[in-house]
Amino acid sequence: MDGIFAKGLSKSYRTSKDSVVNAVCGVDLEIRGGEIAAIVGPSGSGKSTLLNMLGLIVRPDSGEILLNGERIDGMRGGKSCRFRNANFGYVMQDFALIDGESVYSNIRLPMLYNKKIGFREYRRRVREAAESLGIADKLRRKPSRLSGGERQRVAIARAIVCGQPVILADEPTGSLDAENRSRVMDILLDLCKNGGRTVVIVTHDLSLAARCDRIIRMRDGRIEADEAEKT
Amino acid sequence: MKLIRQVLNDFRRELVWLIVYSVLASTVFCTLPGLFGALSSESRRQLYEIEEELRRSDLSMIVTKGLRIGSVPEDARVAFDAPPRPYTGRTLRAMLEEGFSREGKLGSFAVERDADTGRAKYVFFVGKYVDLAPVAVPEDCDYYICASEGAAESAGGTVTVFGEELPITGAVPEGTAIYHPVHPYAAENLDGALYVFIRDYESLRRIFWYSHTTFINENLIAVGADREELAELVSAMHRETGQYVCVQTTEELLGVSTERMKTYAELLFKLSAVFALLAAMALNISRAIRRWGTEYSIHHLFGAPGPFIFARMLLFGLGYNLIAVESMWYRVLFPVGWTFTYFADGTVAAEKTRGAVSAAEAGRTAVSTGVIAAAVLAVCVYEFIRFKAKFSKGMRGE
Ligand SMILES: Nc1ncnc2c1ncn2[C@@H]1O[C@H](COP(=O)(O)OP(=O)(O)OP(=O)(O)O)[C@@H](O)[C@H]1O
Ligand SMILES: [Mg+2]
Repeated sequence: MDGIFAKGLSKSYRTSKDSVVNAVCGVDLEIRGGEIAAIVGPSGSGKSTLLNMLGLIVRPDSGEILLNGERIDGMRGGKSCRFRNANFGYVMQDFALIDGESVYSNIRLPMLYNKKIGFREYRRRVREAAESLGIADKLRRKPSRLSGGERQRVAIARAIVCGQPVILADEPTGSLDAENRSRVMDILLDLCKNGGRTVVIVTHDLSLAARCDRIIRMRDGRIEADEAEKT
Repeated sequence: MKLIRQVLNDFRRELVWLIVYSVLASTVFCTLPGLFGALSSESRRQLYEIEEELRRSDLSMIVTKGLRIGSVPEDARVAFDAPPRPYTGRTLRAMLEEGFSREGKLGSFAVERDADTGRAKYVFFVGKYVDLAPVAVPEDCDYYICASEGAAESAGGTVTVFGEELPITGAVPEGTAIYHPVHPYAAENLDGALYVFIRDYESLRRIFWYSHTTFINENLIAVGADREELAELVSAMHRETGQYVCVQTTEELLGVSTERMKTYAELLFKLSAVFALLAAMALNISRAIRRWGTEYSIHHLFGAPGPFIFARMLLFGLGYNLIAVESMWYRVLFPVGWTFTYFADGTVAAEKTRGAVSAAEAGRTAVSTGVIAAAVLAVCVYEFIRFKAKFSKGMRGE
């Protein structure tokens, strides 16, 4: 079974002594490999929490997650770190780049923790990823000197440099203008359609969501509707 | 390798703070070993024991130096104000001879210091003070010389005092202190000093003819003497030396002793200061680590294992204190003093002198290093737990 499969996922947070927020409750989800899915919904509906659970950042209170048929929700410690490294590329709204280091070092970062990639490959892989995203001439610069669109492309390069098959993007276009929004969306679509990657995007932008294979609508921690836009 | 590179990079970006911190922390850390010495239970126990001993003995302090009328209770001046007894014709010398004899009631101690380092070199306990000293001195000998465990000379050897070669017979445990309520060096640590115990005035005069009066002048006490005897001695001292002399009982002294209060207040002050400074150190390390929080998260997100992140925090935290700790050790391993020689023509020659390593000092420095390392470890463990908790909540705050 190819793709991401989740069943009965729940997560609640204790916000004070006697109040609990059910961020996600009982979500069933299936995203096929090579598919691009958008998760939309009002603020606070649990989109980020769901994405973080799929990406092994937040541990679900209950439920199970399978990636390509392998059970991953119980992974802990070093195993989950290795798994994240090999399988997931994360793209964040605030880019999550290290400002003090060059674009090159930022893109290279995941490879430092990948035992299968020798350091001789670093240069080639960074260059390839950067070229495919049109930032090959910016490798020596610091991310803080780049425009928002360029920065997000650096972050996407980092998310694919180890050959991660799954990209998890939490509002990747949230800090960008209209032109860069559609450009980043083009890149993500291309990674899915021509790169064979599975992409999950959390977004508020319905016009971007409309370009995806599927739109998953959330409300109050539950999936309200799960529709395929174009079939 | 990548760990080292990352940590070095962290330092590079923290350089200015690191330098400022190192300078401040060096001075703070250098006070730590001394404080641990002062706080050691051994020296406090001895202080307490001697104090108890003083309380039990019916002791009067004959204060000839550093007399502060303001701090002396009304009663204490009774002996001074008491009308002089009819002149018996006994000279001060005769009184001292009798007082410092085996059956006598007088005692004293004195400290001779090294001119360069200022540390106690010889400590003399005379007369009744021999029994108050924290060492069992055989009854039958006129004088008894002991080396402290940290001294250059040791038991079985000899020491030359004013041309006379005297055998060293005993040993005194490290961490021994003198306690004297009016002595400004109360509870001074005497590691490395040579102890000389003398029971009678004749031996004192024979061996230390050169400076025997200082023994009498500085820290004179009387044990079990009545008011008349004290009044006679006080009158004789006043008559023959012109010195105004005051007498205080132990109870009065232990009650009001300003020196003792000063010692405790000082200890308390030092303790709270070091506590505050250690807390400031911990806070600064924690601040420095938190500064890299986002970066640690990014590394962790893309696969850096937890222990790797922890090692990066710990190396950073320990390295942060490296310069300060090193300067603390430098001070112990290469203690440097200056000797100034003044010539008649007004020129001054300054000479650098190197002291010796004291094992106790090194031990205390090691303890201080341990305390600092433990504090850093504690901060790092705390910060790491905090980091993991935050990360697993989707990188959102507590
Ligand atoms: N670490 C946390 N501690 C406490 N509550 C949390 C935490 N993370 C999320 N929540 C709560 O869970 C709910 C869902 O949050 P989540 O971030 O998943 O929403 P979202 O759909 O991503 O919202 P937005 O579109 O604004 O990003 C919210 O009510 C939020 O307050
Ligand atoms: Mg969100």
